[in-house]
Amino acid sequence: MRIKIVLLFITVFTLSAKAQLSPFDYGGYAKYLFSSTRFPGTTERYSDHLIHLRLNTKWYATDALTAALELRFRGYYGETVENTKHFIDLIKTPRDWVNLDAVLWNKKKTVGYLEVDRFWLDWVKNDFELTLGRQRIAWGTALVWNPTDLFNPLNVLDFDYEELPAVDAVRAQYYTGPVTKVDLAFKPAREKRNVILAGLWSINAFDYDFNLIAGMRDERWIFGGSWAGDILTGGFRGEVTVSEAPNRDYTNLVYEALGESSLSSFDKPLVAVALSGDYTFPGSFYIHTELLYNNNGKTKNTFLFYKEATSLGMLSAARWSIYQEFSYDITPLTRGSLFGIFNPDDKSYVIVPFVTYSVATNWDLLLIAQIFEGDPLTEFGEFGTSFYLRLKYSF
Amino acid sequence: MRKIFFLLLFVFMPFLLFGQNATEIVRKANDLVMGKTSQGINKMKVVRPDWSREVTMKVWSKGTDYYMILITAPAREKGQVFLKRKNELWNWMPSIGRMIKIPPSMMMQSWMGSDFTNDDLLKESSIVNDYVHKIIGSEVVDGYDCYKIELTPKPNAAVVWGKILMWVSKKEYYELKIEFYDETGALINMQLGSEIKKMGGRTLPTKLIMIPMDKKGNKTILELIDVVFDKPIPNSFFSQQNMKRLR
Repeated sequence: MRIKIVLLFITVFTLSAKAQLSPFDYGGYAKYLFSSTRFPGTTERYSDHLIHLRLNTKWYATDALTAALELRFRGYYGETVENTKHFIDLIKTPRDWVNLDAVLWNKKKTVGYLEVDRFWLDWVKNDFELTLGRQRIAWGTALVWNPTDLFNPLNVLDFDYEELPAVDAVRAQYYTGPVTKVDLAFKPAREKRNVILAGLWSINAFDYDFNLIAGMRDERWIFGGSWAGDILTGGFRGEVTVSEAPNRDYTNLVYEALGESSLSSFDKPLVAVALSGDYTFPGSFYIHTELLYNNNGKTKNTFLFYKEATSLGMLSAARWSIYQEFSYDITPLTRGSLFGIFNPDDKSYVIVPFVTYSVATNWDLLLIAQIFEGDPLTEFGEFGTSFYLRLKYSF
Repeated sequence: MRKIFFLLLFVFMPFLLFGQNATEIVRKANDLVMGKTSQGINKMKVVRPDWSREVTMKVWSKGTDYYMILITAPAREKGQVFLKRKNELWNWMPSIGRMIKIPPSMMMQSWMGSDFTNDDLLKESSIVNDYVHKIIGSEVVDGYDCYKIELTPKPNAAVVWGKILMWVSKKEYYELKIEFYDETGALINMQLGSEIKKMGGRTLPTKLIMIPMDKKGNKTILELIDVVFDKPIPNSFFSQQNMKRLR
């Protein structure tokens, strides 16, 4: 009997000793990206090189308190850098509150930029969680366009930024059940227009996740909902938002010359809808279709409205966007994918074929092309064709 | 009439008992490796003729309804969490702060490039509840006297296999060999249990090898590095809040 107790004690002790985890954790990667780009209307290709480093650190201060700091460094060298005026402005991440970044060098052919990409403190007490700082607040359910991601909308074509953008915010989550919660977030900003306050309420029923959101963004009320579930075992998701009419008296000379009204002058509520369906066939063949609709979206000259759309929180300036993807594991180490985004009104598109290959444990190779096609001023007509090769080492 | 009834009963009795026994044996074998709850560390090695890759994970389970898996290696996948609650499955991706609901059509996919499907690891279907069991003989496997049991899917069970054959040791209920057949009766996968060791207070096979029959030189090895059985885990442990905090 005594021996048994001693054995039990030893077992428990060794198990708990094994369970001791370091309060610090780190990880990240180093990537090298080669790109070759030809812009429309030009004959030369530009070659560029990018070293992209990331360091993620976490500190588990106590059971309740966790802190994270993640740094992102990009060092560019090449012809696009040389031939683009103010190249640094294209790669700098705009922030509304604190910058926490540094241009390490900015020369004729090369630029080095370091930024704090995540920096947050998380405190948990029972079902309550409070997160402060630069964090990602991802509410969306769709896989390409997320109208309900009010805080940090993303660009699906920025394939080299896997972590996606973060936002400086205060966030409080209260878990009402194992898979449901109430989530409230506030993003302060120097300019009143950039302040966001919004909440999400999630429920789970009939094997579906449902979310309802309400908030204030761009000084306009926004309401929405989303869901994620399946139909006949295929994924089925969607998001809908309705926001107050911007009704702003804004135009410019280009719009006037083309006889276009600005997106901001739209005097009816803005409606955005994303629908997403995917299916994985036995043998890894994967098919994914997604649709995005903006009721005030443009059907022509879409390229000119890109910036204005972004400032209104729209994910595209187009009325309709169609995304189609096919993927297949050619071998367990090699995945081939092909996706395209089509604008059915102006007939412009981007086609993105890519192959990922696991060279060795922690070493990944990516080959990707972005082929943009379309007439001048169409949504995708102004970007040319790029080829990329990337080697990534994760640690 | 009564005589005929008893005669029939007598004739069918062994089958009734056998049927009962077979299910009981499969249940005991299953309980041995699953426990009421379990929490442990697994290492999975995918072996191919010219390469191999390893994934390490922490696994928490409660019956077949509740599962949580945290990937701890390799670096690229580290931190990802999978949660299963009854029929639903979610994936927490900490790098993008996103909770993704996984549709069932992804369940039959191979788990991280291995010869196991998501279903094998997350136990969507149950070898105890979704199949009819029948003892069809006795054979010796690795020196252990085993029951040879045939599993055929129940009419409405959502399972992948057309038939399963299982060799379970008579005394210890070790699952030493399992053969998975498709609907046409072709042998697709073979699973072998070995490295019988004492772990988590039980003696059990700590190494499972899954071999796809049609691909020479391919296999996946699942090794139990550490496990604790039957330590109570509340249902509330299997939550999205907890997914984000596992490490």
